[in-house]
Amino acid sequence: MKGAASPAAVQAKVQAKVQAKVQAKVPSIGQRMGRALGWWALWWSVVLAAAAWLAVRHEMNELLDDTLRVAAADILVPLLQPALLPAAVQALPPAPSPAPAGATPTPEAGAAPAPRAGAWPGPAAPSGPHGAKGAVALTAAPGGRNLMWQLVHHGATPQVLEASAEAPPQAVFSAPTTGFTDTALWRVYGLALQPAGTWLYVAHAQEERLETKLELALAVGLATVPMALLALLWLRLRLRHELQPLQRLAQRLGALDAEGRSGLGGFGGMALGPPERSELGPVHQALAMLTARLEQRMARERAFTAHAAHALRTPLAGIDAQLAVALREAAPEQQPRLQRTRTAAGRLQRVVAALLALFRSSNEPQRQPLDLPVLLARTPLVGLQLQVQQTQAINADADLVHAALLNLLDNSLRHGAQQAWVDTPAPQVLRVRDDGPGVDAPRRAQLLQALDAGGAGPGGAGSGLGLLLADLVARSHGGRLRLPASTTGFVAELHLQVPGPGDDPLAPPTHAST
Amino acid sequence: MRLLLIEDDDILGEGLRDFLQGDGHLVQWCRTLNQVHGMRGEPFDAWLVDWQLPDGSGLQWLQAQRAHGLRTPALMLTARDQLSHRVQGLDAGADDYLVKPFAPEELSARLRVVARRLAGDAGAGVLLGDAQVDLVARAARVQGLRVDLTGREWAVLEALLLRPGRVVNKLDLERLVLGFDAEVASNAIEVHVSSLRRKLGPAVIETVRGSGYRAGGGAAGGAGGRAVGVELGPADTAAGGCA
Repeated sequence: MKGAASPAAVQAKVQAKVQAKVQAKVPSIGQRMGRALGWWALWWSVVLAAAAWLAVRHEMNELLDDTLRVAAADILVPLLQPALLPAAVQALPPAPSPAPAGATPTPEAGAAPAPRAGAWPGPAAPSGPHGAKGAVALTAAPGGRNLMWQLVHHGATPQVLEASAEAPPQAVFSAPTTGFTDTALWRVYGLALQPAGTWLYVAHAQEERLETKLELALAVGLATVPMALLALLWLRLRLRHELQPLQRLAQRLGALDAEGRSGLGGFGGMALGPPERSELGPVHQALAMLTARLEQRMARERAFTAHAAHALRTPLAGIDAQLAVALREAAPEQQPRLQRTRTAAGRLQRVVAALLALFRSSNEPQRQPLDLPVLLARTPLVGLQLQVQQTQAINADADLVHAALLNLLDNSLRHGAQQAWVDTPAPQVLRVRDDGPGVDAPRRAQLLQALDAGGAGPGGAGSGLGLLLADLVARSHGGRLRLPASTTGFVAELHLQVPGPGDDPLAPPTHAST
Repeated sequence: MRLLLIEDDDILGEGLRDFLQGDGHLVQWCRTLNQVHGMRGEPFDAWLVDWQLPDGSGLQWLQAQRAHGLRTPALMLTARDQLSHRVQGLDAGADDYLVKPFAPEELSARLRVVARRLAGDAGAGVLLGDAQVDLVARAARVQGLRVDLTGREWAVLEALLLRPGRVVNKLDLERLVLGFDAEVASNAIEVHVSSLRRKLGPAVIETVRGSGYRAGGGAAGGAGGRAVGVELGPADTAAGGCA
């Protein structure tokens, strides 16, 4: 049975409602996956950078130390040939055992065989344990000076014989120091030279070493970020692509008509076609089962409607045929009575036809301008005085409205009314009032509740078919039956148009009551 | 007209039968298809067929008759009111479609349409020799003077004019005019034909020796033939419960 006249309008309304709910509450798969992937990418970058840092720090230290050693032994020492050494160095007395105070002397250095005079010595053997205790505390590493060397003679006081431009003016160590030593600002490689007491110190700025390692780790970490972002983007696109079958399924579902048929003629599960992804299989299966049940129900309803149509129409035709024959055969004094009976039978035919039309969802109401006095002139209600006044235009299905009014007036009659008024308080609104006992507010609310539930509510059984049918007629025109409060009698309003936003059937009528 | 009414509802069937008989038609009313099968071989001017019958589909029965080449005009009388049903009914071979409930007067009017169509010019008033006959208005005049005909005489004239120019054999004419009463009075047709000739002139009905009778349509119909809608073969004598 249809609930409202305009299926498209109803569908749009339902869609808007569902969409609003979806937007308000339900999380999106795409957004959730995107967020998860975003966090994953961030963690991946951090972990990768940390791993790079751990791996690179050790290797970089070794590499940089090798650089210092090579720079000292293989580049600087050959460059600093004896000929280039200042004569002062030659003239200096041999150095005492290194590191007399503070600095730990290296036994190897001390035991190093004295090179021949005049001969350029090779590098002294590396010293043993050494420390930075005797290192001269340099207050600051000169800006931009990353690599420096010093040729120091450790005499009574350490004397810088030669130095690179970047080197500090005083010796890095007060006592001879061999091998690698860390000071606050430098990592120094010390190499004992001949003549004894001469040390070559080559150093990297600690800051620079740290910076190099940090830059490397950062570069590795940063390199993963764009990769992760690209992966994120790709995965989101992929996700959207993978969700497309779901959207197509939704579209196909949306394209099904009220009876679960597609435009191509398939029904329910068949109309949806085979699932595009195995994950959608259960959804298709559930929908197929749902639509199969729907189909069964529809078939039952169709069968019932067809049966009801046959069961109602044939006897009505029989009554009319019998009355037609009786009219021919009857004596003249019986003719008027038979004619009235035949008129009533004809009315019954029209009402039944209207109700059957109402019960069939495919028929839209055939709207036409109505002339209420004419429409109701063919309404015989013995025992009820009827006054009809039309001041507003009514554009509606004549048969359906007639059926609704007949039912409402019949309702009045059955509830003891002796007079009824039909008027039009507003365009597309029909009002039926009577002088019967009316209903109190709780009963009115109960009746409206029953109408809302399609007659299935708590007050449904008592509300009778009349109000329900009138409501169905109003709904088939996109409106509702309203039951405004009244101090005298019972009032029902048939609204025959799509209600505006915020329209409430319980609310008092917006138009002025007359 | 001789009408076959197939309708299972007693109230409607009886009402229609009586109403149509009141209009001067000869009505055979069958409640089931089984009874209709008992009417095999009977000539009718029109069939009035209900779709849903207790022992089958009236529409399928109609389709079967059309498949056998029978062209008797058929009106569907049914409670099925949807457009698809109307289309289905008309496509299956129905000439007209009436949705229940309908007024019997409307059915009568539609039968007059059928008669007009079958009779062609004769329906609206045809000259048969000196006589002018209007089937629809049931009026006959000779040289401008109205001539009264009995119901049976009209029935004979109608049976022949609904098949203008075609020869209708005596047996079929008896069935079309008298129904199953034909058994009782075997010379009734000759009596009515001679009565008609006396009232309207000898040219009104032509006797085709050895074949039957012919009226209207001049000599165009020449060859002898059977009445429209008559199925060849011996007629069942029993009406099979049809009333």
